[in-house]
Amino acid sequence: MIIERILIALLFLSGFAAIVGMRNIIKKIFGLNLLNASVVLLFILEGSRIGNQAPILDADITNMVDPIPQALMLTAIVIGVCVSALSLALAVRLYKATGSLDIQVITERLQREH
Amino acid sequence: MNIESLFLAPIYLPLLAAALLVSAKAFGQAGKTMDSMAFLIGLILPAVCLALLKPAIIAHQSVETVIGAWDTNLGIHYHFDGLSWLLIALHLAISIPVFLYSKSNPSHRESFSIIFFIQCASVAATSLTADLFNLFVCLEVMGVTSYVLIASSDEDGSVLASFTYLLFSATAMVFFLVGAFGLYRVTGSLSYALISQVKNSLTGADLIVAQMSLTLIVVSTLLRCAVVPLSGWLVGAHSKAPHAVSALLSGVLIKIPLFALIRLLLLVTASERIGSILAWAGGVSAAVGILLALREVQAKRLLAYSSVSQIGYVVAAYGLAIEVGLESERGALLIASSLFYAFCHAVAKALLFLSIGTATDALGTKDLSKARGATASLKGSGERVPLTTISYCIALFSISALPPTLGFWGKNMLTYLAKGHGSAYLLTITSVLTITAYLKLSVLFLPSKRPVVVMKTQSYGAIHASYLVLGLLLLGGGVFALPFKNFIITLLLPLGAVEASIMGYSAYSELAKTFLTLMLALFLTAISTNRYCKRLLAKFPVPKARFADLFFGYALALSVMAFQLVR
Amino acid sequence: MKKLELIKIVITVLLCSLLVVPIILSNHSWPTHARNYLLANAQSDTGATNTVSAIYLGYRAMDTLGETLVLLVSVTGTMAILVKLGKEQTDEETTSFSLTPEKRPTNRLRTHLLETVASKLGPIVLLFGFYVMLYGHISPGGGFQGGVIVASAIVFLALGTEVKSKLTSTFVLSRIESLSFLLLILASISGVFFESGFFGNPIKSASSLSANFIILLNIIIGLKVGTSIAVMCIAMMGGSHDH
Repeated sequence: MIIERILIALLFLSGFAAIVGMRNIIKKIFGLNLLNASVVLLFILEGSRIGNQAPILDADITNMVDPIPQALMLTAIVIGVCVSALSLALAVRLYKATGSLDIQVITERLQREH
Repeated sequence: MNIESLFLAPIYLPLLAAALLVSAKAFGQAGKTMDSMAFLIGLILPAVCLALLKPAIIAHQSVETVIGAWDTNLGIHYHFDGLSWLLIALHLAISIPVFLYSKSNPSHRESFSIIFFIQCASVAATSLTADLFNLFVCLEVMGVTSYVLIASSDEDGSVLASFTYLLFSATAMVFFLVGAFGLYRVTGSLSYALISQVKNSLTGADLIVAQMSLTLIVVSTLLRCAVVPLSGWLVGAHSKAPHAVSALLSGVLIKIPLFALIRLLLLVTASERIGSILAWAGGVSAAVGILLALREVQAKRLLAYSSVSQIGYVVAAYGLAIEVGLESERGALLIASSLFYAFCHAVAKALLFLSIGTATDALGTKDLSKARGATASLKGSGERVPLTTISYCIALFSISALPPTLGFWGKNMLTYLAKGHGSAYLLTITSVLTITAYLKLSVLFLPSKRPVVVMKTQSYGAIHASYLVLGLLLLGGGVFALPFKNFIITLLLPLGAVEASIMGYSAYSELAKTFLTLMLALFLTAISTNRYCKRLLAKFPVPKARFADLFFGYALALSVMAFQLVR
Repeated sequence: MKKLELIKIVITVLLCSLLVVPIILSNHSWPTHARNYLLANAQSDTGATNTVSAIYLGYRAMDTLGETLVLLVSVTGTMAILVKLGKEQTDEETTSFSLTPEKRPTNRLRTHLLETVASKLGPIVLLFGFYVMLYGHISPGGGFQGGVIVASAIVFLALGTEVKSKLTSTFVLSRIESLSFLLLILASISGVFFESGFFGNPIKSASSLSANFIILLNIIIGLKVGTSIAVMCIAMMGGSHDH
């Protein structure tokens, strides 16, 4: 039980470290996706601790998992996908404008234009 | 129509307008008629609904409803009271003129209006919601609309600004989700009322987890308000966006999450510690923001820095109110003055962004060291009455707290009430520096010796209409300031605030103080135009919104708040 | 300077991990009363056997509306950015994945194998997508999941050449998308006029199907999601015609 949690925490931190530390903007977006995925896993995993049946109300259901985190994560996944689609489009536009994916180079080139 | 359907109208009517525009666009029917219809449905009808609701909020009605009428705690709770009424009214007061203004720009087509209306709905939903996960969704809708609107400018810099804001706030929203996870785990609920009920009786390790989750939620929401360690994204985003968007973002969108948060903060215990941090953070924001604005040479960036500084006033009063508690007279007055000042700043800053935006467009440059003679250029581009200059002056008076405008009452009452706390000194210093900074901005309108360059001619009808609405709000608000203030105090009663009236405050003594402030500011301006002083100012390092710094500020804010809460 | 940056990054990650890790590792037992309530009442409240659907489109339908809005805004924003790029750049045409037939030989990635398989697979996937969408209330699935499958079917059809379908034109797709969005908003508002309030079920007694409103919302959301994701994918492949 503790091992899964530690793995999720590591996934979360590696995603966060990529966002903060990586200079390539595509890698930053990867980091954001990792971060999102770790939170989704966390909700689903912990929500499934209290049961062992899928949350579909058949006749013989007695011990289903908690469906609330699943429904919440459905929303969170969609929002995550939308945000990363938008950020990728912005990244393409930045690349076309400056010819680089390195955030420092992008910042310098855009500032030089002014 | 029952009251629920009426107060949810500011959410679903703009959505209906957006849906109509989407269909019109897909079927090639978009045009002027469609736009005016959407304006009527999405902005005017909600305003009518708010007017119809006024008797209910004056009678201190506070309605808690579950969307979809489920009689269980699983549903999403929405809470309507004076506060949410006021926030939606504030948003409508700015967004109606801003929408009019945006129609003057031909590059804002249907997709701009669609996103604009969706943003309206998200603002209303944020101010009404009483459910943690729904707050997350509302903030995300608000965020995504902001990213797209910022990137809709033609400048390439706007894309970088939008990208920075997107990555920073999307990461913070994941932390928000972790916070929601923690609170759901230990309390078993997502609605504010139930969370606080369970949380206030927790002990031991569970309490620590709950406090840390609360920290994550509060700091991630405050990011949208750009309080100082979290404000790095604001300047790029608000200065590179189209003028209408800047006005809306700087005027309204940075304040709504702050006041939406108060529903949760008033319910949980130990929020007074959050309040004391916020009071200091507000004071520091005010001072840092204005210092950075003083050395800025680009018109819109100066306005954006000033937004950081002005939100500092709002946050300081808000934090002090939570620290003191709304049950005390001082707390009730402070939260009212915080809202009052939020209103003053929203109107003034929207007017400033619109008028400065129009002026710099006419001049063709934003550089304050070169740009002169905006009035003549505007005249050359087809403006017959110099309304841009006049409305700039009104907004300048309001933001510098000079009579007879709304800002004079708002800022002076706020600093009067904040007296006794350390951040009040910072706020007083900021008042002086604000005037200096805006005097520096005013050189745009000084007459120029060079010949007038006409960039392009355009019609000013819609632009003038938006100026008139905002300018009249500032002047009319100045005349009816005291009744308005009392109205706000009455509205906040359902939150648990007490009925209070301001004691020992006289506008005449404030007049003397204002005169002193003005003199000091003029003196400072005289000094700062000095050559040596300019050189000294230029030596300050230019702050850059680098990712490492943004997140460093975020981590700092998180740890300070967590330390205060857990200790 | 570089060292300072590194220290800053390390401190940031450490401070955040100090806050987040205790929450992730917390050992408090997961609350059960929501699950127990749903076990007993979800079917009678909403009519749906799938409790995730019951929450997603019943108890917490407002979140779903917000999510649809995020999707709409991000598709609009992405399309605006991509179209702006498409106007500026034409030299990339040769590497685009969906090309007009006469240009296809220039693209190595578009093999005959891919085109045949994709066009044969398209209709079957489309059918499966509609199945997942329509049976969302009694089995795993729902509007969103079905919509994504529909979107992938449309992408298959766009990749293939054998079947000529109007479904792959962004023009038609964006019309369906806009209409389903309008329908979604109308469905959520209609409760206001039928005494059940915003997002209340306006057709509770109008049909013998107990989950009627959830089925309706599943179809609308499925169409909306399927078409908007398909529009975005086709635009990313460089095949948008109407701009």
